[in-house]
Amino acid sequence: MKVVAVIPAYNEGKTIGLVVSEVKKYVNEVIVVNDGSTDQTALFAEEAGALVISHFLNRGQGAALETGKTAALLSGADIVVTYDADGQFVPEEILNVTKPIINNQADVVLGSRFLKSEIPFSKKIFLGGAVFLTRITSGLPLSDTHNGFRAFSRAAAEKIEIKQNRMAHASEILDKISEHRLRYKEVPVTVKYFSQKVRRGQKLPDYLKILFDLFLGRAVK
Amino acid sequence: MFIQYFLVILVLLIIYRVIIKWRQGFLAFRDAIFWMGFWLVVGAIVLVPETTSFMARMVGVGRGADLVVYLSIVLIFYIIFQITVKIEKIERNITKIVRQVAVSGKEEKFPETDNGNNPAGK
Repeated sequence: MKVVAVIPAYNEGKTIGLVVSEVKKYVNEVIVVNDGSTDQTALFAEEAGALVISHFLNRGQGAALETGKTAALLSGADIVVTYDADGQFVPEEILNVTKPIINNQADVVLGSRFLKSEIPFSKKIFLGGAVFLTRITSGLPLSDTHNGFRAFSRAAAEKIEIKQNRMAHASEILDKISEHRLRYKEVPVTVKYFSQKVRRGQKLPDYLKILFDLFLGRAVK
Repeated sequence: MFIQYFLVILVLLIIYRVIIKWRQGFLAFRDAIFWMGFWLVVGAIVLVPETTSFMARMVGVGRGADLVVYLSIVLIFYIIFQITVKIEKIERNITKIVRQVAVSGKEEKFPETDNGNNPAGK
């Protein structure tokens, strides 16, 4: 089984080197999608041993994931793991995320913060809102909907085409899991919140933007 | 009234431009017809403003001028929506180009580029 990790990165030069070298221990190949970074992200990722694929323009996380997934499939991946570049995840847990696919219990595995780790209360409320909306739109009873730690079987990765360029891709993936009737499983993952990073991720205006993007996605087709 | 002459000339100029754009292939036939119809209606309203008062009474809006403003706003929102959808489509197409360029530079790294379905590695 060839396991390929896909890490979208936009100006993550500070963390990408360490993340790649850690993740490399648990997968066969690491693909970093350098999403038009203006810093040294591509260089550090390459030095750490990743295959770097570069967008010459910044296209957003959803676009970068789709590019990485395409590249992973081209390189013959049996399992595609998506992982964040900022070092919030614990690399050992890649084994937990890929296991249900190796054991043929699921086509898609989704990491969930809420089945484990401590999360600041303010984040819980916002993320709770996202979870609620996703339950309405996709019908999947998940505990965590905007988590970048996922694993896809090759067949699932081929079926799920991410069209949303920006953050709405997280909801789009869930919609497509339900649309293609893929077997999914949630696995608890640790998310390390660094004090300066609590501000990262989604804020209220971002949610409005995501909702708008999802709406627009339906209109575009 | 002076404003009427001015507006009629303006409308005629716009219709002329629409025809030119259609001839040059920048406007689809359907869109050209829509815009010509739209500007002809505007021209008619300019020449006979009383028609709007009549229509306003029909639909229960106070004054003809108000009806024109309401309809204009609806139309503008509709056009903005269409443009937004169009921009999103363009954005997605740009992404496809950027992706193609990004992946095609790495062909030697992908041994099975023929169909992407090679189960190698198993």
